[in-house]
Amino acid sequence: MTEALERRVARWLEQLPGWRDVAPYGGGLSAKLFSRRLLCVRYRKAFPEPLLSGEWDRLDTWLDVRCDEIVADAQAIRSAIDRACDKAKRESACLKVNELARRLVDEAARSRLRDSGPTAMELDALADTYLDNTPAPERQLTRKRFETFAPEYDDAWSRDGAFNLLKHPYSAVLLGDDERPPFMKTQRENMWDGLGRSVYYRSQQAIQDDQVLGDAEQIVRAEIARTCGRLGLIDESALVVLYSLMMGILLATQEALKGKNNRLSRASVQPWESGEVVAADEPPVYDMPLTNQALIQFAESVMGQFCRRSKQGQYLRASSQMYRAEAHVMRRAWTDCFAEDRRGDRVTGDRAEQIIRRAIYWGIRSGERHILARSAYITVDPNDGKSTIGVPGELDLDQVNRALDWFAANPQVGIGIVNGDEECIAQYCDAIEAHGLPTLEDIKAFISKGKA
Amino acid sequence: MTNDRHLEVSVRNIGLGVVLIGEEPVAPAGGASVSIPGATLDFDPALPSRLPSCLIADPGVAAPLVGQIYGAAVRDGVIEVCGDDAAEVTCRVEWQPPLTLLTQLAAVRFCQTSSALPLDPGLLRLEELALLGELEGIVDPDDEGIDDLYPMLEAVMSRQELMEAACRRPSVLRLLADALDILAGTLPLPDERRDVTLQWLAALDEAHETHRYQAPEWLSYLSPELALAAGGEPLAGRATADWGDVPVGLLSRREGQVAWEVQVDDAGAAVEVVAKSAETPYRLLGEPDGYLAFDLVSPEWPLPLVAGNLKRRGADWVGAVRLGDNAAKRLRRLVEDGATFDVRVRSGDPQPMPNPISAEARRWTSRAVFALRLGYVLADEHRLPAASESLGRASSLWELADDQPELEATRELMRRAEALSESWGETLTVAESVLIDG
Repeated sequence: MTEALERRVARWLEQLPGWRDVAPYGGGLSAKLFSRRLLCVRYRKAFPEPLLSGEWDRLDTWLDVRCDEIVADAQAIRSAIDRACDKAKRESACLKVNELARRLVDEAARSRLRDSGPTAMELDALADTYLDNTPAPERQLTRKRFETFAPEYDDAWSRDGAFNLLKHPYSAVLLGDDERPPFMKTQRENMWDGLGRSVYYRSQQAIQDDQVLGDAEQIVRAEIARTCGRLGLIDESALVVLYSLMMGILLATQEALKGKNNRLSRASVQPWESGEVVAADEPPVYDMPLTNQALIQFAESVMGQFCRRSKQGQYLRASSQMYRAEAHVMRRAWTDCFAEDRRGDRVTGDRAEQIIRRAIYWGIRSGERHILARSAYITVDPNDGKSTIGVPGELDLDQVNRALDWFAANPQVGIGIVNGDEECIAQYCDAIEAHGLPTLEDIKAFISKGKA
Repeated sequence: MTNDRHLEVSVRNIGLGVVLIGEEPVAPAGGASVSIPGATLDFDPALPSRLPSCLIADPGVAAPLVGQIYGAAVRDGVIEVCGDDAAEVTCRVEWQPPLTLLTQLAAVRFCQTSSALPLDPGLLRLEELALLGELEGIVDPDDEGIDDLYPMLEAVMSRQELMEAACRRPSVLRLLADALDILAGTLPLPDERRDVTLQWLAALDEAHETHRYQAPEWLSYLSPELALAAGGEPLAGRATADWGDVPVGLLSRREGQVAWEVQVDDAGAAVEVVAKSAETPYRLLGEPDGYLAFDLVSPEWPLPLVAGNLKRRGADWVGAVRLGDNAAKRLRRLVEDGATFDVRVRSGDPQPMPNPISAEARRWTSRAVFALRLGYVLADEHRLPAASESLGRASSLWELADDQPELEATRELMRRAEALSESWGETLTVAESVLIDG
């Protein structure tokens, strides 16, 4: 009944004379917000027992009796918002009215639950505090202003970025294609772009992070330098985390596919002290240049646990989709390392443990949701207004059909590729150029999606 | 909703500092998840009153949000168990206001991925974005952003014919007003797009809500006896595009909505496919395009024999492709050996192919859920028998697939349907209500 209760209360508010003046569209305060966060909370406190559908009369009476007080609260909130908006305009502050309204309504609810009402002074004080904490004008960055940094990015990329990309390719840790990150993008961006996210997006994220110091110009310069760093990062501790995590999840995936149990207790995988993680003096393993054995072991253990215990892990393993899970893990971990890096923090052992656990237990689930959502994305062409659902296939179907035709004549190779037979894989690789077939990775992905 | 009951939930450390609230739901009609910082919530939208589970990867970050969703006792439980592997406590849940919004968001996502109805993906996305805007501060901003809200509203508001069509439907008009209101309130004050949004809001007429719902005829396909049968000649037949393979809103959600035929001649072989478009009469953004493809497959052959694209033509999606010489020879040999064939219609970037029996079972469970959802609002006495029949069909398929957890969850759903113990209509989306606006 909660949903119905909120709707009914919101409708009651909307039919009040003058409600639209108190809660104009775009003004932050809405009937839904006021109903959900203030009136329903109060009503449920007064009548905590389960609601029955026949009890609307009681609700209506409760509302009617308090009508004046409800209107007074809404008007007090309206005044506080309007006052804060005027101040924000004068000071060019970055105010979001919804956020402010939410805080004011919550404050009013707290006040009413204490049996007093919110005073104008209390609400104004809260709005002032909120306004004081909004980003200062010198931290605001428009696209137009950002565009002036393009030559700086070009210079930094040719000086450092290209070299670092060569030495630390993004694809080696599943963070996207080995291409220079774009300066700006016109389409949708989010964390799943890996290192393909634009410098503009990185700068906006840094600006919104109140732990990042500096004005907009300083932040953009720092982000240009970071984008050109090794794996888009400056501090080596973050690189150690990423390379060790990559190594750990690869080991775990191999073990999981073999059905081995690599369970470790928490105590046995925490050999680090509280300091920053550093790379071990060991030769690089599997071309991972900077790794730490303890972190590898921890990552392997957490990933192994995920594959064994969670339904998602079991599904991904059974459907040969672990490569997808690995990419989700690395992207989430990079995002966390990126946040540490832009704040100038080095990654400690404890923080590395957190990053790894988040990357596996949170990154895979949210990554899978993202993939599911991507297939239903609706995009609108800004030129002609035409909408399109989903994303195009990554493979050219003519090329796929050449491969399917080739497999029809070489059936054992298709089956061998699925089973990981090295001889069959070599045979397919030999045929790629001669017959114009898709790459091995592409055809493996295609085959894995076409099997029941 | 039964969320008024005083619920209790288990909170346990499942190892290495990862905490689970409740149990991961078995959702036979399809699940939905929402990401909050440091954790993921998993819902069973077929039972909107069921508490979502929450897998917490980072208890330090997620605990305050858990308090805002499940209440202080559950938050304290998370903090209590997170440092102690295998620790478990039982906590009392207080259904907090954001949980109602999160449950509605899960319903929208369920409609996007598992809908038995040919819903408008534009309306679903707009409602999703509006809810995400309302949940700002709760959902993960990096993963659940609302950057698309402005371009989407711009696409509607800057085209007179789309705006007028939206204004003729009260539920759509209300959603538009809500979404614009949220956008205006979310954009920072100096942003010039805020002024544009306020102008759009001023251009909308006031909504006049009506509740005269009426079910269109074609909704009868939600019950099994009217579903089209699959099968046919060895080289021709009907197939069903699975909902996991094709985004909602492009094709009809009937069984057997795809007709295909292979023609073999002296020169080789070719396959032709015709798939029925979605029946929905209204689209927020006009008729959308999409990326659809098909594969010719056989249980006796480990790979597809050929793949082709589908293009919209009138009320259908059609495609044709010739097999390569080797593939055509292989097809002939398979025909001689008595092999059967099928066509898989899919999006450009599909998920792995599911077990076909489980996929069909999921579709029937979903049809039952949507019959219940619409039936609740329509107060239609025929919907319950339709849902029961679909659930009966789903149960036998889950049994055939030997999937005990899904079978039990489907039977539980059937029990709840017969006892009418859920308020299915309370999470009805705007895309659903548009279908039955009388």
